Amino acid sequence: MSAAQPAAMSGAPPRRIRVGRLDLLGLAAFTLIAVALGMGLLYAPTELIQGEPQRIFYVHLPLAIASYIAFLVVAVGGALYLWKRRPGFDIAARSSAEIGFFFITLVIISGGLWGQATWGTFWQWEPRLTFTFVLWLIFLGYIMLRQAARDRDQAARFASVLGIIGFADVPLIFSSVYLWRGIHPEPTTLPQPIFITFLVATVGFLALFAYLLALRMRWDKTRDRIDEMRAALEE
Amino acid sequence: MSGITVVYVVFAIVIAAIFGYVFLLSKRQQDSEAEIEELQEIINRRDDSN
Repeated sequence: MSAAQPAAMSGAPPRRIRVGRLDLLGLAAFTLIAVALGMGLLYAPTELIQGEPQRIFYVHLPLAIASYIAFLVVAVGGALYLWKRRPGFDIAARSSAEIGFFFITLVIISGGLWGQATWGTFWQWEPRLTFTFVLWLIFLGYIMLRQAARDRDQAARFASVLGIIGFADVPLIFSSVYLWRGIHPEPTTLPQPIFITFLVATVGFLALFAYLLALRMRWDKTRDRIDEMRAALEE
Repeated sequence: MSGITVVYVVFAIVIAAIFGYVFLLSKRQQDSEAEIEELQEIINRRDDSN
């Protein structure tokens, strides 16, 4: 007898178990982020050159990493959809695109305020910022394409291609500090307290990404069910 | 805005945005589930009348 059978026999909806796990994931993500922010303010030392504003690093870089993972999911989900044509891959891709766009917007805002406090400017057209803005624009276009299109399969195919092209911008953002001169510094070895705080924050934001992705995909599946019911009513 | 103030402002913006987005996702889910219930009722009524 499988583990799912008793729940089905007793009439208990198996979805409730998934929601419980999802809640735990959300709780873990929010706890880790709260701990990381607390560590960023109380445990990590004040950086000598930048002073207090350097603490923005504990949200800025983890959010950037989480957004790159989100765009990787968009590209992989899009490629798999083009190959296999399974709707599940498209749901994962379009859900991840929205979350990646949300995260990269927060990266731009937090980075701008950090730049204002440290470099005296919110924005400069230097390579990393420019490639980040291009990424933001590509995924704004991706979301607009999804909302405007009437033919769902055609929209999914076009968006899959756009998602793959968009992800190609991520290695450019990463390598821009090595290839061109700009105001962003090259990565250096971090002192242990700063690295540990950064690590906790990164795990927290990655857990948050997984939580938001699960919530967003659940909603997308619900919307698909609504579309099926509407189609059945129109028949 | 400088020093620790900007750090608090950024942390507050990020936390508020995350809670706002989670709230939006929950609201969308609730609205969609309510819509499913309404559609199910319409389908049931149509099936009964047939």
